[in-house]
Amino acid sequence: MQTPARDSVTWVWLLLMLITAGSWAVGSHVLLAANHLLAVGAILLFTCIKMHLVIRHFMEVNHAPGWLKLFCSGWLAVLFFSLLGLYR
Amino acid sequence: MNMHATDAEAIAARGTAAPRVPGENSLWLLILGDMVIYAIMFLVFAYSYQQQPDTFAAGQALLNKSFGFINTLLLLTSSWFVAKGVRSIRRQPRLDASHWLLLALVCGGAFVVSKVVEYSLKINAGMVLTSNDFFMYYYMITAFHLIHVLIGMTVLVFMWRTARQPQVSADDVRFLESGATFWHLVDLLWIMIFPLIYLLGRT
Repeated sequence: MQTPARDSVTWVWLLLMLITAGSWAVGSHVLLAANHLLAVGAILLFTCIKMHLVIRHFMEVNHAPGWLKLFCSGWLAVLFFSLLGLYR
Repeated sequence: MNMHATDAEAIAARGTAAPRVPGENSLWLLILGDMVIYAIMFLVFAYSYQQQPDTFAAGQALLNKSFGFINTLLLLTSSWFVAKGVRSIRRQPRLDASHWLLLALVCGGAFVVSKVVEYSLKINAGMVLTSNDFFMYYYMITAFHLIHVLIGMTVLVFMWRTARQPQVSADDVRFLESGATFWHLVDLLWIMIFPLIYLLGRT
């Protein structure tokens, strides 16, 4: 039971690095000039996915009581939708 | 108090499926409070952007995105090192966690150096706290975060010392979990600061 859990943090880290590189490329070059809303939406979505991964796997909220999972997901949802609204 | 019994209890506790949070419960109050404060700061920043998009876009264009990008990679990696450290110390037989914590400290140190270099370049180029609203928020949000990094690094030093002990008690494991959770929060907040300050905004 401990082995997959131990390996999973490495996979999560690799995924986080990959998303960071991808979202940086989007932010600095490709889509921003073409479609602002699409670029903002994509960057915010990737950011929130990364934060979700950190919360659930690194901070171990995956194993936490339901109310804490709910708080963290609610916090992320508020950030995502408010920022999308303000930056659109 | 029997050290081995405490170790065994700690290991047994982790094997259960019952929901639990890592580290001290009281620490989570601080973490959740910080999350709320930062959410408000992020929204105030975004609202100010909407009020003066030109000032914010011009300010953002003057920032070097590479600093933000490299800092993100540094904190993500240090967070992974800390996660590996916590998992090493929980394993039976226990593995040495101290080298993971030392690696995390090195990444934290690199983040601080990079931030100091970035600040100096900006200040020398005449971009200071009072330049405009964008730079006021830029310095406030990143400096408040930098304070978190420095506190986190201080805790990491104590975590490293704890992990180097020949025996660790259940309390020690709990302390390491608490410190690790705080360090992940530092990483978590930067993940949002990076796009908000460096990437989003009209070109």
